[in-house]
Amino acid sequence: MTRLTREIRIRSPCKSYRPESPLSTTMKTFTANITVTLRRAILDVQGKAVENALHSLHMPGFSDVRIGKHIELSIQATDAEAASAQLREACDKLLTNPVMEDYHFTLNETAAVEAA
Amino acid sequence: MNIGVVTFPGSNCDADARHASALTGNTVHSLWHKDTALPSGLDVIILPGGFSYGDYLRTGAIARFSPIMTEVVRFANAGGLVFGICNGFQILCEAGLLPGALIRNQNLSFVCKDVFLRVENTDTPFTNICSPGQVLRVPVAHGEGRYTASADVIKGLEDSAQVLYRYVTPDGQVTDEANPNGSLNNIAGVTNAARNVMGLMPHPERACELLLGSDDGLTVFLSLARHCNVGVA
Repeated sequence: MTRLTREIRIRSPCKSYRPESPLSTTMKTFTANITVTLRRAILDVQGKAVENALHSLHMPGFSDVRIGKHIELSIQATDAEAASAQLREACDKLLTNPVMEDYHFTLNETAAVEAA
Repeated sequence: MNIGVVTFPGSNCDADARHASALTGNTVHSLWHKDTALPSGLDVIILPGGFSYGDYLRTGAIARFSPIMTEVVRFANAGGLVFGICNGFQILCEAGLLPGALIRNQNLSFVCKDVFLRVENTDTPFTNICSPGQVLRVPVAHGEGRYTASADVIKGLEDSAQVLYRYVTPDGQVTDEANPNGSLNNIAGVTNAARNVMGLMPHPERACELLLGSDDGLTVFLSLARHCNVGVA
């Protein structure tokens, strides 16, 4: 009995992730690499401090040091376009703050999974 | 007045905010980040200082999606008074209830000391008991308090007197030396266009008893009481 209940609990949420269209049953997995930096107009004090440190190490050739964040994640989507749209929504809503940050990302397909 | 103080995971000034609220004769309601309803009859909601969700991703970025924030936004949009202190200010900016953002201090250091604030607009629920240009002594304690916004937003805030407090010298002069974090225009606290939401980086709730060095922080609580037509003994 316990086992049956467990199976039902695991399976039922999976159904909701099936694509709505009956034709597109293949979900693909994408890996995204997102780079977040402070907007150009905002003084990047960390970047400035690191730049000064490089200069003090007798490496005067470096300039325009920008410190940012790197976020990796996986997305399941029907295609790259859908994955990009999901990712942009995530970046705009949570992963970055457009008031102070810019972002860009790369997206790579990692595996194709046949939906059951 | 009925004041609700929200506790997020990582809030560490919620007890101080409740203490200062009670000290000024208010009924205090403890609110939890998972609450999906507010007690009836609330006059003010305080989002306290701290490090909600460990400041992961960005300060306030995750707290802003806490279940209670839906209610806080609804309360604010209906004209309710909302006051964000330090991390609470950061959460209000992330939630879009206040313009701008708070980023890493210009000197990259956590700054913890008393600062002097000049009251820039006394015609608000948060400052009405102050005299114009009054200088208050209140502590700051933050690593990400540099107020920033686009030039247009800053101009809009200045033109419509939404800057409520500025970092100044003890005699009220705006100088770079008096600015503890590099905030644009020495901005320490702002309000929204409707003037019912305020964010302030310094901690008035930590300056409500002379035993602690200053009771200038009382001005915020007494102003709120006056706004709500509540007499304070």
